[in-house]
Amino acid sequence: MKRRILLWGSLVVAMVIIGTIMIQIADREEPVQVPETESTETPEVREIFEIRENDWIRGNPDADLIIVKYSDFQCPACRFYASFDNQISSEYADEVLFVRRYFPLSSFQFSRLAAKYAEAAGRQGKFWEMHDLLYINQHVWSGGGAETIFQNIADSLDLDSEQLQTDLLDPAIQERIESDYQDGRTLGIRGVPTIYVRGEQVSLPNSLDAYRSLIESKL
Amino acid sequence: MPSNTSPFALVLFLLIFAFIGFADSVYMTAVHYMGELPVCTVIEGCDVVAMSPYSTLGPIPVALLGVLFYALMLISSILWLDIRNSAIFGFLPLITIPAFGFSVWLVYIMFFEIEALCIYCLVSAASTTFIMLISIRLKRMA
Repeated sequence: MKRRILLWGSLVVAMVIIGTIMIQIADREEPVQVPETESTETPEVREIFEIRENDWIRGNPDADLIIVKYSDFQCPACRFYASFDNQISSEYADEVLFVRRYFPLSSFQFSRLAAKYAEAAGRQGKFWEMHDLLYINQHVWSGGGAETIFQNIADSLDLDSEQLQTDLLDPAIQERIESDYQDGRTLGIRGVPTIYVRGEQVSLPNSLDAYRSLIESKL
Repeated sequence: MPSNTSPFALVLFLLIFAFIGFADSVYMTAVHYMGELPVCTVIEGCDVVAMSPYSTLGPIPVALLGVLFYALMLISSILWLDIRNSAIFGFLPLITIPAFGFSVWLVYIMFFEIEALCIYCLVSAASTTFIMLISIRLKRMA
């Protein structure tokens, strides 16, 4: 009888202890929402959310509602969320200004190179085309041979190859990407993609309908 | 595992994997109900997996099903240690094989539909796989 009590008692105690510890760990995580004081109240953060001339934007530049996304080209999650972008930005082209910034993770081999190609394509007016094709083909180039594939994508977009190569070597492109990255660090980005609506970090909408609801709730 | 492993040792392994899976799924269930994102390195994208429509079956989070499954495995192990009746082993695969099948489907979804990796889900899938293998071995011994 004593052995029985010991066995079942140990199980209950172990389950309660493990359960309590795991719940406490889950509860201790920092909230996903960046506190308002961090996201809007410091001049440095306010400045980050101001729209710049060299920002890559879609939608209405005069829109009251601005959605800023920090993203990476090689992260699979970023590809998943980018799949909503075309549809949503065309549906809300009049009401929303969509801004896309770079947050290339160093843990991905080709993230920064992809960002440089996107930026260089942007100089020839094809940023969004390159952006879309980089994501569509992400599973192809993530495995290797990225530079050749980027070059093929650039050719398919009829980019001036010589100009592209010159731009890729331009330190200003690298600086632009790093500057976005540093802004992201200042904002305390914990993962990509991260979306800010009116300077407030929001939970990622995981479907088109969720994205629409998010926008409707903020309009 | 060596062929001469005793049922006692196998049940201990079952307990260990059930505890690992239990801790993992309690964490994911807690994260689900608290509306948090699981903390992991950004490359793994476990926030995507945890937030994907596949993380719930109707209103029930998949992680909660994991808690129930692992709790059942813990209870079965302790029950055997208590009454030492091998008839218990006859029923285990009836639960562990479907659970393993469900786990394989979830891993498939993770790799090919969501295309993001969630370390917590992989730990759970590995625990379920070991538990299934142990349960088959125990059934043969029964």
